[in-house]
Amino acid sequence: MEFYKNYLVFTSDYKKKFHFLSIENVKDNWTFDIDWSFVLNPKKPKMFLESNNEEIENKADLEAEKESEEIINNFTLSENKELLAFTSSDKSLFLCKIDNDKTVTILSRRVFMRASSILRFSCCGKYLFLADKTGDTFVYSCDDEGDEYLSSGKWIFGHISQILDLQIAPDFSCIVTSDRDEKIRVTNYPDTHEIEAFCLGHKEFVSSLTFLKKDNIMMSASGDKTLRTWDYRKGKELQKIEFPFVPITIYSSSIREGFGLIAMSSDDNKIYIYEYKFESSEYINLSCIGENLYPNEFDFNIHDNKVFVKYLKNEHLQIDIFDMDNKLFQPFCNVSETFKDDVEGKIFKPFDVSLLFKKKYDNVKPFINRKRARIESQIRK
Amino acid sequence: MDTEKASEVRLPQKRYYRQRAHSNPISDHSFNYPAHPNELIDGTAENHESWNELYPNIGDRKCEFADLGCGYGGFLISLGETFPDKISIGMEIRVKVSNYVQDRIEALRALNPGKYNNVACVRTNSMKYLTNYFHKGQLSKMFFLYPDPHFKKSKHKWRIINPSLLSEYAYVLRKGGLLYTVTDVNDLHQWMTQHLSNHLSFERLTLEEEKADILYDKLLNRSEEAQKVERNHGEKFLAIFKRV
Ligand SMILES: C[S@@+](CC[C@H](N)C(=O)[O-])C[C@H]1O[C@@H](n2cnc3c(N)ncnc32)[C@H](O)[C@@H]1O
Repeated sequence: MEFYKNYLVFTSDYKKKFHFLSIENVKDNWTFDIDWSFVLNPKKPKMFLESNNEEIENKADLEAEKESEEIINNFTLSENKELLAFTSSDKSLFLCKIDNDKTVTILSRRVFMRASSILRFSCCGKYLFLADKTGDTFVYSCDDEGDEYLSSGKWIFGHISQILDLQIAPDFSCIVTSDRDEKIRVTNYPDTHEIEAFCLGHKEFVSSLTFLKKDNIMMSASGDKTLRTWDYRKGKELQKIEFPFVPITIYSSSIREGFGLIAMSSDDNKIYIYEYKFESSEYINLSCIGENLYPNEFDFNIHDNKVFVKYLKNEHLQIDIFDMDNKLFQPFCNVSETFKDDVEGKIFKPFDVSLLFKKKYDNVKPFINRKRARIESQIRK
Repeated sequence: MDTEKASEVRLPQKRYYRQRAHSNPISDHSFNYPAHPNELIDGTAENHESWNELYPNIGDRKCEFADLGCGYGGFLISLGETFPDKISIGMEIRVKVSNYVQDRIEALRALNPGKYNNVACVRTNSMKYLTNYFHKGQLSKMFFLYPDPHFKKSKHKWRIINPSLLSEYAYVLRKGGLLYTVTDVNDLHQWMTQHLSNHLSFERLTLEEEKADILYDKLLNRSEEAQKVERNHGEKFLAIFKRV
């Protein structure tokens, strides 16, 4: 769930369309129907040194996938809110321009190589960063001077692990990525060959990152059941907050100087809302929603001092708002009715976070035991 | 750590420690590693020795040299002899091989009291956990000797020198520090030097500077792999890059 000016933007109808819904007036809404026949630029992104831009070898494979099967995987909007980018299940990256008259124009459709995990715009939407499941990060130009926005992606850096989140620091000086190996890497921008710091200390995968903008603090959520805050340019841990559950995705916003609003989803299928006071590092649980959240359909985000939560309620999609003013969740919009979407039988399998935990198997102990037995038998001889 | 304790201290015998050559450095094995380099200093790493435990009388010195994929440790030990005041670590992914090096060092220490206290070996996947061990700029020398070539293109990602990792190597190496590569596979040599030359944090030394390095001969002769290449009359390719 993202925002375009005063509109909530989310995918619906089996992840095939984008809905835009005014946060002031639910009657003000519109839908972007994707033209799945838009021409694909099949040039593969540049990997490492390979200079020749090979084309995807088996284009037939791409076309074999039925158009109607394609769905939206990840999407993002640029800070200046004019660009929308999304990846689809056929491994193409769409770049679109949102026009003032509530229409969206597709500018380009480019190829990426492996399942994407994250998509983010750089400041003012000049570049798009795409991190994939094997740990590689690519940059795609969005410049509309010349035809840069049509050009293939370029590899910029990688993790030897699955990247789970990528965020750009509020001052655009670095890109921060987190992975399944407990690591948070702070890469200089635009000098992406330089690593500024690693923020280490988590004991499990780091699934989500957020910047508390006014105070320039980064927060991370991990499978080790903690949220941690960081002086990220120094790689220094500031605070660790422990929970009885696994925090999965976090969003934050600065409500006023020194105070942050944090919304976080968890492996117990709830969304928790906290107020966070930087100076004393105190946090107060304001609310929690989750009695009937189906993990497969829930989505949320923060806009100013409001938290929007989309979830499946009695067979229809519903959006509720949590408002800092009255600190309550209130119904906002019945999405299925407003957009005439049919949700029945179109439930997605939720991503199972438990898969991110590593299976532990000890291959040292058996060897040491055999060795001990050998040495003992030698001594006996 | 157990030693081969018969009636007297003996060097370990390699035949008990042999292991299949290639392991996949990307898969999910279990490793015990510090969550943060500080844990090696204050001794809080779970199931892992601290610097103090690895090196008797390390004092306030820091580990500065790292031999990545040290194999049976021949070069590592010779490195420790060449620089008796410097602390060197070998990192090796294979259980038995790293255990052999640990036993070998322990036996050497017992046979030569007061010596070999500046070398140690840990079992780890250096491609994943290097930065869990070292702070930014902590190392002044890194060695990649006869690394596994992973010939297939689809396995190039497994190569211990690859563009993703070079930035991490530049992170743990201090400015002016040196990165050494030696291989008997020309293709791999080309690949490593090309990627290192293309990386903005590394600059290759001149041929004269490379030859003048005090370790030049040892790099070509001291490790077990170097000796194997020697026996087979293979060629060896060496390169030294400076962190700029
Ligand atoms: C061909 S051997 C060379 C050993 C030694 N440097 C020598 O010259 O004799 C390469 C070694 O690197 C080790 N290795 C491979 N990948 C590794 C990794 N990711 N971390 C640590 N060691 C690794 C292998 O187990 C093997 O012992």
